[in-house]
Amino acid sequence: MEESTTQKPTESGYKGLVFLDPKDITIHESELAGMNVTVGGETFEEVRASLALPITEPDRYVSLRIGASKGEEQEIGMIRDVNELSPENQVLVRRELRKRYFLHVIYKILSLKEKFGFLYFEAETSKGLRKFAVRWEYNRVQEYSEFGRIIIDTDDNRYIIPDLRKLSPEEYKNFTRYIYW
Amino acid sequence: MLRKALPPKYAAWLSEQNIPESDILLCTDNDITFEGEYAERWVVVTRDAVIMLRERDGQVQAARSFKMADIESARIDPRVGSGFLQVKVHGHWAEVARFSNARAIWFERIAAKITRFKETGEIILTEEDEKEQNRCPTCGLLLRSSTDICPRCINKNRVFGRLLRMMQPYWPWALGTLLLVFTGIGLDLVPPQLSRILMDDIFVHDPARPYLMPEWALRLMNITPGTQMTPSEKVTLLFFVVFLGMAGVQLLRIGLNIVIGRLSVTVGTKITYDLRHKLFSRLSELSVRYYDRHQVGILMQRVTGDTESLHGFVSQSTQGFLVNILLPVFIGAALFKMNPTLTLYVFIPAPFVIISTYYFWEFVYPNYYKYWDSHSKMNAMLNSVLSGVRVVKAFAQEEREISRFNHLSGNVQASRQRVDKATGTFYPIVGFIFGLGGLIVWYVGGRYVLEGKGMTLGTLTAFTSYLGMFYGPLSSLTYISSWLTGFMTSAQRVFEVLDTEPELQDTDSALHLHICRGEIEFKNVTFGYDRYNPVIRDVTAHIKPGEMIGIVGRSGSGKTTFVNLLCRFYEVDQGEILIDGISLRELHKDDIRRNIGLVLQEPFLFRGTIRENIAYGRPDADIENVMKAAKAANAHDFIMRLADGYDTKLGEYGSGLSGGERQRISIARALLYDPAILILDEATSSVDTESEKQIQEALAVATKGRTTIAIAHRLSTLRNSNRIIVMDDGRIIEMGTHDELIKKEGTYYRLVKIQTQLTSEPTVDRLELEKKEQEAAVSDESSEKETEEETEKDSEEKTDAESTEPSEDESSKDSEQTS
Repeated sequence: MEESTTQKPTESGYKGLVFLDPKDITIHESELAGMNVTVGGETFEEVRASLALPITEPDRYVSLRIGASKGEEQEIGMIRDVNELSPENQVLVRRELRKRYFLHVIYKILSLKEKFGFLYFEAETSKGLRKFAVRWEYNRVQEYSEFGRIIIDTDDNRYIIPDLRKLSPEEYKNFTRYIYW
Repeated sequence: MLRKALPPKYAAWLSEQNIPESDILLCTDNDITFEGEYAERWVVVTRDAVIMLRERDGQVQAARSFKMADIESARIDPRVGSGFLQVKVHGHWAEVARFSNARAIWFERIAAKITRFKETGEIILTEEDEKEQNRCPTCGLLLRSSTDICPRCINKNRVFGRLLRMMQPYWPWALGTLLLVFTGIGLDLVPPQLSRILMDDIFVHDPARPYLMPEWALRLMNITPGTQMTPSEKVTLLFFVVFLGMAGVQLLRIGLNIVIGRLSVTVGTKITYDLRHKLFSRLSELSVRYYDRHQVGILMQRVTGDTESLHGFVSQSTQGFLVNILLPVFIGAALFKMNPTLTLYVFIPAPFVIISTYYFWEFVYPNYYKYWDSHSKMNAMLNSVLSGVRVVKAFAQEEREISRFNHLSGNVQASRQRVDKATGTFYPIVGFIFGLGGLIVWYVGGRYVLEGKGMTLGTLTAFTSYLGMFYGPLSSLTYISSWLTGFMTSAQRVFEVLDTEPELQDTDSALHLHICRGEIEFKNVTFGYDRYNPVIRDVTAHIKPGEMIGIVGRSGSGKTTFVNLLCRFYEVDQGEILIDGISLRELHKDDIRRNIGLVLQEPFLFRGTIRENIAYGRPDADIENVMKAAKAANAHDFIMRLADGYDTKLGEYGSGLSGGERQRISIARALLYDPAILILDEATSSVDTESEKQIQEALAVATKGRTTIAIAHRLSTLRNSNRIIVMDDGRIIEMGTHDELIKKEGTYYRLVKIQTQLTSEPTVDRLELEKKEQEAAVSDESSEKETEEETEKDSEEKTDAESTEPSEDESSKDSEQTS
């Protein structure tokens, strides 16, 4: 049975999971916040996008949501795969996703030291050279997919090492000296 | 900072726009673009606008600008790793700026200030507003929490001085211990000297050299000083040196160690006891707000772990740390006195030992941490799995849990191995270096002996004996600094609690309330756990003595905060609360609480007997009154069925009793307390129908003759209330009797209707509502239409009402619907 049918939220009564038909979605840029999304002839304003599996499936299962500004957030529906959208729509959805997730990808750990229970990193990241501190605690460095780690610094900023195996032996040794879990 | 100085180019731009500096209310820099790239941005709030400035192609421009007149309010829209400052313009939220989490605290404050400006027309900046969280104000070091102590800036002298003052009552013990420590060190120096006498006076005495043994000692042994000793005299001397000298010193040392140990334990435990007492007393005095900010686990660590480390400090000071400092000094002096040149050779291995020990600790400390950490994780996993063993078995997940455990256990094994291997490698190497020192001394000293360069065999033996006593403490001194830092931080954490002044203190002129009538008045009360987000907004209510008031509303609507404020667990931000016409601020805290009885949703029972638990508020109550209270609370009969009756010991949190039974005991406790005001906070919401019935019966007795405030989700429990308050979003939106509110057909009416539809039992409400609907059916068509719309609206709300814990967001939804 084909599940990928678009239902208008009002018809579905917000019950059950609604997968949106990529052909049935039109997305417009909003002047204020979020996007304007038209689904099945109905337009929704201030639409936000969020990922169901931001770590393991960063391109799939995108939830389009309305009402966040009124404190009564509801899901219009889910997009199974961003790549199935039209190129224009893809751009807008990805931009909205970038607004939701502010992440740094670590390319190289230049220095890692411990002092007074904090780990001080200096690293080359997707957002340039960054120096940040992390509380030396288990919950501040977590697994990210199978071989990666996500590091949350003292400001709650997020840094990702996608694959520990791709670090140089020296970086790996220094990293696991402090973070072995 | 909320009012940063603008860089000249931005200031110039504002000036070009005819915005004088005096118009700037708030100004702070921002770190990222809307696209999430790092770049300099400035947010400026003036009396007329909220502007976000950026620089593009060398030109400053306003990337976003909103007229203050159009803005309704401002807020932060938090995302993952960043957030947006938004303003509400013509009913829509618009983004002003995006910031990384590093800047979140400032933008939270800016949003609150803009909103306040729209409400009051002014922006007031306090010192608190400019304070950066979680950073040491002196050195900027990151701290674990805003209340944490900076380990770098901690004033060791101050803490140390304070500790010494704490020892003041025990100064005779402390002084005695110190003297004994010195005596002990003196004794430690004796055996090598005796071995020197053995060698030089008895075994290989050079007639040309005088005896090392003092003349008076020789005379005491009937040996004539200055003459060559006969073999029998040598045996006598040997006997004295070995049995009286060496054995005596050893016996004395053992005796001293025992006395020092006992004294340091006495002083250490006494100080720890004093500290624990002071800490617990202070913690008992601190307000509920303090506990909101601090995790109970951390506070427990302060009372137990940190105070215990003081004990460690005393024993370490006397037996470890002090000895380790003094011994190398004394031994160095002794060595120097014996042979200054050879002493210099002794120092050759010292730098190696110190440096290698430093690096060893640098390496081993993180590994020790890993071991402690992996161990605690394994324990936590064990605890959670064994506690939830039923769930594990029910879902047949034993294999998976075994595998998880093995993984964690493997981590323990690996980390332990790393530590032990490092230790096992390092210490033999250090031993070798020491040995090397010994070899150098043997070789150089040996040549001195052979070549007759002023050194005897006895002196060389004594020298080598001293070596072990010299190197050992020297290596341990390398980690004394980190130990001392850790200890000082512990001490400071203890002092920090002791120094925290209770937020709600009685004034000297505080009044007593001996007889309370139970009249309550809320006058324009506003309060927020965080001052910028009020959860009680401008609440005014008057409750007459003996009245029963029901409070209803969704989760997060402010019901529990309402009663928290009445108990004065928190101080109101604005307005005042009066009991019998006297402001809570003017009353003694104890008197307020003496007149308020609290029955909570989750009754908290302590470890102890049922009798002790019922008499918790009145420990002097006799058993007959305890039983009367239990009887009135419908608890007596089930207590009597227990084998040990009122002497039944309850486990932690009252384990061993059902939820309903625990609740009835807590009601008995409140009844015995006999308060003028009784607060029931969801007292029956977590028990089954049968228990609820029994509790309701108990409450009917309990509430008689006293002012009662009952918070309930089950509206049927409030039918006997004189009046009902309906709260939403921190405000009282409806107040009146059950009948009045039903007639009003507002929120209360709708809530009753939903709950009546949910229960199949015929109730008074149901009959009333059915009657109302029949009337509505025969009335005109327009009213019929209205009823249909209402039903449709209700069916949407029904989903929320079914949920036991609607979110804060849902409460605000209701707010918009009802307003």
